[in-house]
Amino acid sequence: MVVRQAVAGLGEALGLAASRIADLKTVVTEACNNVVLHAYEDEAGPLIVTAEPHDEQLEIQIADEGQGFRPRAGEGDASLGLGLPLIAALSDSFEITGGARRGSRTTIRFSYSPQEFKNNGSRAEVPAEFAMAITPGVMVKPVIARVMGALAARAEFSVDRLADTVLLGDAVSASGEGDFAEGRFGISIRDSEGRLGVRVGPLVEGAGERLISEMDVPGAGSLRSLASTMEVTSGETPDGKPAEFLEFEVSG
Amino acid sequence: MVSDQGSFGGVRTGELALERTEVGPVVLTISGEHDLSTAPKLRRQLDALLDEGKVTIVDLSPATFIDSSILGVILDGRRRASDVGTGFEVVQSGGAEAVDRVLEVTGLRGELPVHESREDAFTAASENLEAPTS
Repeated sequence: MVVRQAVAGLGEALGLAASRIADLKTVVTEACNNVVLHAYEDEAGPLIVTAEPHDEQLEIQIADEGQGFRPRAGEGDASLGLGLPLIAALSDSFEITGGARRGSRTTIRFSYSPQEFKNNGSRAEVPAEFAMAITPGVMVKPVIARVMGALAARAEFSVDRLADTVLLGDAVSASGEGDFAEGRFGISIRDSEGRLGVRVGPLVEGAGERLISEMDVPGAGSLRSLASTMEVTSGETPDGKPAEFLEFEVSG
Repeated sequence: MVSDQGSFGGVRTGELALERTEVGPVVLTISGEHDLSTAPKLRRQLDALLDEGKVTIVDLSPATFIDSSILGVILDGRRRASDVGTGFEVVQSGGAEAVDRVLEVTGLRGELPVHESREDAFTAASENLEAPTS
């Protein structure tokens, strides 16, 4: 569901027609269903979604680190067998690679006529913690707004608190490419017991405090007050370099 | 009308509503987005109705998204209704494009079939009960 909202936001940012966004949501949902149903036996595991716009074609990869797709013994679900034909019918091409215990990767190519074509890349991990990295640019704001809104709704936030959460998402979306230690907008959102813990980064030194100061609204206080906690923390980039993170928590 | 909101649906739109009509059939209305996360709830609801032998109409008109897991539950519902000898019809009137596309591409609009109005579905349900085809 969260991935579907993120992809719909991406489709809107790319200027896709509503009918193509509908198709895009279906093919991505079906590919994710395959992972949820078949990739992992009992343990949880990552579901990684990458979307890259090329010339008039969007390439989406849905990958897992599971056991490969295979029918489960005793599975009597009548839907078995409808998912892949749907992907085939609504996309331009698709392929599945991988194998037993090597993980699987479904690559879907999806054509569109770009009215607005600026940037690329979204990456997502679900379900308990949602993490993604997006190339800064036009798609950050709609994708972050949809993802934070969907997670807040899933956590059963009130309508007011859901709106506050989306506002905070907009505020951090205003960060620029130079703020991020790896040049990509990184955000992880943890959903626990009615609270969302959000971690933005890795950021370059000083970017966290600057983002907080930019949340001041003249004459109306700071958007910071919408979060129950907000602080800049120290951490590392994936390759071990020191970096900082902006962390905040919103409760429903 | 009994309404039941999906709790894992992400956006708060995955709802099921049950309506017992004066003409007999029970209408189960599916609204908002439905997928693997809401399929078990839909299955439980349909199973309960069919266990009671209720003539059941599934109304997809307010649904904005359904995936193959929801289609699977509907197909299973139709099979169970046939097994227990009760009526089971599907209706979609002026629905969302994402739902239209899924029904067309899978061929289920003709296969189920999907009626264009509740009245058509009620008529089909009573006709099929009088003269079962299988």
